[in-house]
Amino acid sequence: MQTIGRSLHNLWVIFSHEFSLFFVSPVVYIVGAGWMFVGSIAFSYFFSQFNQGFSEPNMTNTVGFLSTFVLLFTAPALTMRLVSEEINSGTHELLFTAPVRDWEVVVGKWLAAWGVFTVFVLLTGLYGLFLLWRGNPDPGLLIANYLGLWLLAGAMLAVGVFASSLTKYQVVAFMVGVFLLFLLSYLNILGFIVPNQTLTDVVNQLTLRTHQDKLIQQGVIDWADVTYFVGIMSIFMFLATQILGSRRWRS
Amino acid sequence: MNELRIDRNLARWIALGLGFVGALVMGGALVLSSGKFDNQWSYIGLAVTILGAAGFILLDPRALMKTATGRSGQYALTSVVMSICFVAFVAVMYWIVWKVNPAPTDLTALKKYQLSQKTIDLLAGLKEDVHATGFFNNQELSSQNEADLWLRQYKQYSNGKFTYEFIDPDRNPLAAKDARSGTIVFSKGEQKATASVVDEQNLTNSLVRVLTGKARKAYLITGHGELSTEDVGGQGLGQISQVLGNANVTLTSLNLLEKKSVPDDADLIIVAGPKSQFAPSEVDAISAYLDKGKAAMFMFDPGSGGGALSFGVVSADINVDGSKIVTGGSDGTARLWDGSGKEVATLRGHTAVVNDVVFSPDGKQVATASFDNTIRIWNASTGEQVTQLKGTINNIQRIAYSPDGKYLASVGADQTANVWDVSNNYTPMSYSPIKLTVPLLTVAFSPDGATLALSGGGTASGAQGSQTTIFLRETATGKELLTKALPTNSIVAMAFSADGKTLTNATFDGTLGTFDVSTGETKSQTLYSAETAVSGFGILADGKLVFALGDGTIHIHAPDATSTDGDTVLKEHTGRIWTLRVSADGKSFVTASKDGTARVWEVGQTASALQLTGHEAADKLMSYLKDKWGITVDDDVVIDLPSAEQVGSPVIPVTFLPTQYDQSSPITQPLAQAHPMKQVVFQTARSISTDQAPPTNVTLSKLVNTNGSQGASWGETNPPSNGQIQPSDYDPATDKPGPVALAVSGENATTKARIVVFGDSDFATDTLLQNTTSGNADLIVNAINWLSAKEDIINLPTTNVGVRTIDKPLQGPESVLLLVVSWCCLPGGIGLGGAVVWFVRRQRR
Repeated sequence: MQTIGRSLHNLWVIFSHEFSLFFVSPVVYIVGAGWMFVGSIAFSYFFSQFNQGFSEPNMTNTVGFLSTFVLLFTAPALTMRLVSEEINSGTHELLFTAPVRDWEVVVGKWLAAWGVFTVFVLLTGLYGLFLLWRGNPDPGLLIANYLGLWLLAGAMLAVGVFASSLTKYQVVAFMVGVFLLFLLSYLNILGFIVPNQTLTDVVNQLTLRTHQDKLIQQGVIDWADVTYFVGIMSIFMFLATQILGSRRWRS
Repeated sequence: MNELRIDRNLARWIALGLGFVGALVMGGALVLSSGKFDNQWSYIGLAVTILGAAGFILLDPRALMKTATGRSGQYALTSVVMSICFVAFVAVMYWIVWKVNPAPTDLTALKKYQLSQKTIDLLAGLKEDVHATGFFNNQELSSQNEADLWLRQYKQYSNGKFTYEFIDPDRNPLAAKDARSGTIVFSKGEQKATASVVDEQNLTNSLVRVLTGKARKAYLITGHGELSTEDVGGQGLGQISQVLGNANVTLTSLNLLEKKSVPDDADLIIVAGPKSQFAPSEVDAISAYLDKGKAAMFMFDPGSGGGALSFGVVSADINVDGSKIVTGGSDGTARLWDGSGKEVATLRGHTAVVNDVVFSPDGKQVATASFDNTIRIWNASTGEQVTQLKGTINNIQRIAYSPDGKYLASVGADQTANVWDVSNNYTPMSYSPIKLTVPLLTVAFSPDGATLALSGGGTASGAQGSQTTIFLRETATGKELLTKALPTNSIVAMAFSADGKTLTNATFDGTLGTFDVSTGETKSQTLYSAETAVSGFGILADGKLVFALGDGTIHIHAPDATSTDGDTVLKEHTGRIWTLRVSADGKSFVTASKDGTARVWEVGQTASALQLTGHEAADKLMSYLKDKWGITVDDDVVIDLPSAEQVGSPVIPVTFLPTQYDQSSPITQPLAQAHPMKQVVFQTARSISTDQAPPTNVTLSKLVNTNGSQGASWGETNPPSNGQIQPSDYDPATDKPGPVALAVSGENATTKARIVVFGDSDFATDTLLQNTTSGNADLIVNAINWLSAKEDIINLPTTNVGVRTIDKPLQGPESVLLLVVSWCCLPGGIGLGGAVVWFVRRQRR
């Protein structure tokens, strides 16, 4: 029990440190402004459709747009600094001697990024409030829309943290992150190319975005999808921990 | 600590042992299933193996480290192995959750995905295994997700009796060979039922249908040139029998003239685009059948462009001494009359409009040509069929015997002419068929029969054109004598002079032409205008010319007069005259009109000598629908201008708005509520009207309606002959104002009979059914389900009442405000926050 308590303490310390660090660097404001700008363009476009009565008001399309495109860039932009900077400045050596474990460092940093992203998601919540004000959207579906966005973001940020642990250069970390996310998001295209039912099924199961569909389109939580997202988060956290740990014996 | 280590060590070995057992199970399962990795024991075995191995390694990574040599290598190896194990572990955990498939949590306010009690009871009572296969391609993943949410719950409540799978028809065409993409096929043994819309109502009713098991029987009525199921892949109904097969309906042909009544085992009869009228006995049979509480589906095409339900009498001929007259009608019959106007015989056999009839010069035989693409020869005394001709017979416009009776010629709008040797038992001449370069509308023989003249113009669909060609051929050999292109409108009729040296012809737009047979020199004179629409022409014994005009008048014109002011006008017909034919001696002529009569005229008389009425001018089937159901199939063409913006043609109505459907009918409700809404595409259609006060106990609903309001869509009663319809063609006085209904359903509460009437049959043909994005197939399947399985249908409460909208829409300036705030203020505010933080930090430094 004591170890768990200590881990939680360490996680909290790292999380709060990293979270506040985010807000003193200009990156988060640039990314945040970009996120809101693109999100607003998408929302105002879809809102014009609702306004004319062409479709039911909800956040499905806006969230879908943000998820298929914008997240692929914003997630690595937020996480690129997290581990790379430590390696670049050599502070990761200090981490090895500090009374924290590798996984606590990685998970704490990732949670901080996810925390920042939660703020982003809450900001887009203004659109949802706007819909509630002007019309009668299904509130359950709205919640599901944002939940879908938030879960996908968590998984994508984990991939971003992993990319950041690979290199001391932030730009490289960003590019690797974007590449990995594109790969994971559009893996199901393989199923279009090779006509094979089993392959189609498998790549559909592996693809990031397909697990978001039931949440953001039907407003229904499929627990297999939640398991998938949690799985992706833990896999990339585990891998990032291994990569970071490898610096201990490689040097 | 020491204790913990022992425990951990023990756990490791237990894990390894489990993994070993798992491998054994998997191996055994593989052996039993002859190497196929497809049963649940092999899956479970694999899972346990991986979990066991992963547990063995993860529980004490250091033990593994010891086995590797070199410090760095040890670390690297451990790291890689641990990562692989961890990924495998997560994958298996996911796979287990996915396989266990826990009930989803519905966040929506109305619990859209919650099964109703009726469905749950049905599933709990399942006694036999039912399997469902969903066919969805990569573009339909959203529908597949939706289907998965439903079917998962079906499975959950079925005590293992219900299973389902998904197949991508693009990836696995073999398994999906007769299924349409976007549908779910329920099967129990050989029984099948298809749901084409993914919601509980449709899925549960498909389940009910597959459980009740009885294949329903539909009869496709034949004998009037209806669409056929044998014609696969274009304008036929080949696809529909497949669609019906999946809905557990078998389709059989039925000729009511032969069978006299509808068999008792019929659940449904389908009348798909008849091209001629129903005999009274057939209508009686259908009426008696429906009175037994059965169901029928009718599809009627507009009368224009080949189909005909209200064309009246289409063709006529009179023999040399006026003692016999023959007429051909849109009821598919030809009738023989004596000189007093008494009907002598009815020539039955054709299944579509009898487009032309002629006597042989000796008066002993009659030749008839029909849009059913046959030409038949009959005995002119008894009315018995003598023979049916062989040749290239398509869209035949006119037939003619040579004056010596040796040859019979036909011309078609397919640019083909046929010539038969009459004396040699109607064998085709060696040069027949003749393939020419314009659609052929008229044919004439020279008085000696040696020369054959052919002409026409315009398009194959019958629209008139602005240039034509006259072809002259030697009848005996087929040798080309003269071919002359003329810059005039389509030639609709021509006649040789008595000496055979000139060919006089009349064009559709009222020009009279004379053509020198030896030189090809032409003279022409404009007598009438394009609006008069000349349909017939002939030369009388006194040398005067006779014209039949589109308004039903007959003009007798002196050959040397330059104006039509001196014409004698005979006005008796009240509808368009289709055929005017002068007797061989030129002393009398006969006309056939849309008004349902044929008339015989003597030269010099100003009133007709005979009126022949007997063809069924109005279809009995139509009057049955009107009297018993309050449904009128209008004689018009539906014009839908909003559709034109989408598909390019105003005569192809397409549904674009849910409000175009009757959203309370089980036939169209699923189409309106599908996401995205399913569109129905009609080719040229006619409108269906319903009586304000339908007969007692009859409930009617307009299933599919045109887009737009008055002036944007209407039923055009007088479409321009060139087919180019303009918004200005709408005439509130004669046209039916929109929105007009394209399909109507009716139910009689007393007899329990049900019918659905469509103003089109093309919408059910293969070309439109194969388009998976359109709702045409759904419309048919839903209609057939409603018609034929009414006792099985479970009506589920509709949960999603209330439409979700923006009830306070943004107006003008408010929209701009939204743009300014969301595009500028929100991102700008964040950027400003960043700037402040940066500035404050700079100050502190």
